[in-house]
Amino acid sequence: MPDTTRYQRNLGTLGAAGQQRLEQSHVLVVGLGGLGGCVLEQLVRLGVGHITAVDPDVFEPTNLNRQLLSDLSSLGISKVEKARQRVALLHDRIVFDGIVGRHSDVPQALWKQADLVMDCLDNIPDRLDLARCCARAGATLIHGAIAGWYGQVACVEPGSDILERIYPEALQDNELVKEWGTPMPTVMVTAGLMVAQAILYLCDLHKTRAREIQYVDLQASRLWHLKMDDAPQAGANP
Amino acid sequence: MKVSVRLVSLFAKYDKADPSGWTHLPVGNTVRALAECLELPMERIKIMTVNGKQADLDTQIREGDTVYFFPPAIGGG
Repeated sequence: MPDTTRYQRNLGTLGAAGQQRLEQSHVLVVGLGGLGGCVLEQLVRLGVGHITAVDPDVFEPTNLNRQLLSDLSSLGISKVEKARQRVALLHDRIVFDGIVGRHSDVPQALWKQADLVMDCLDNIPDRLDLARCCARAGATLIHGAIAGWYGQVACVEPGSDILERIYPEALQDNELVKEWGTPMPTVMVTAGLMVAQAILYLCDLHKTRAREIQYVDLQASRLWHLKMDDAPQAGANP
Repeated sequence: MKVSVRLVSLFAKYDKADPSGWTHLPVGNTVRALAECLELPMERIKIMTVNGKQADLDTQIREGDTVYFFPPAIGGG
């Protein structure tokens, strides 16, 4: 299929040069659950040329409310394998590599090869460790997280401590995720914000939104951008 | 003092604003005093602003200030 046909509806937004950049880009997607499945779908349709996806799990029934790659026939099947099948259905030229495992199983060389990493994980310790892996490799990370109607996105450049700023050290997260829920609308909107930042970064269409957090509240219909300065002095009243 | 407090999303249930939208802080002049007055879960507070600028728990607040508390989102799987 000619790219001019496939990407006809991308070109008005990305331009031919931007589209070409995406085709030459390699994105590492860490996690293929709620955010990861939606992120993968978008990256493929946008034409990112090389995608590596990492996830250790198989699908289970509680995934069906939000995980785009899940369906009744995929229960018990590896998320990486389902992702491979999905990519093959959508595109005939994208290079897809799957790693059944955690981000710690990603080969060292790959961290430097990827142009961008997508944080689609679901717990704080792994997110912070992922950020450290990216920092060591000099890789930029697009972070996304959700809780109920609420989404959070940040572009984490190497050396940025933005995730340490967001996550309190003492926070025990195991039950909070279930308590707050992860419904599909929030998943899709947050994944959309993540991929928008990813594409703008890869296509060099704007300066990286370094040290900035995006928050969305679907219940209140609000979106915020928070510029994170250097830590304020104690007692300061800006 | 009275301040305008915006408790975003998951923090909204801690709202103690009066019908006019003001939150009354009887004692103290810091974000920490406000958070304690609101009985916010202190172990979850990290991102907050005063009058649109990034702040922390030791940031002083004044009558009429606008304070935002943003909870951390964790899920995504």
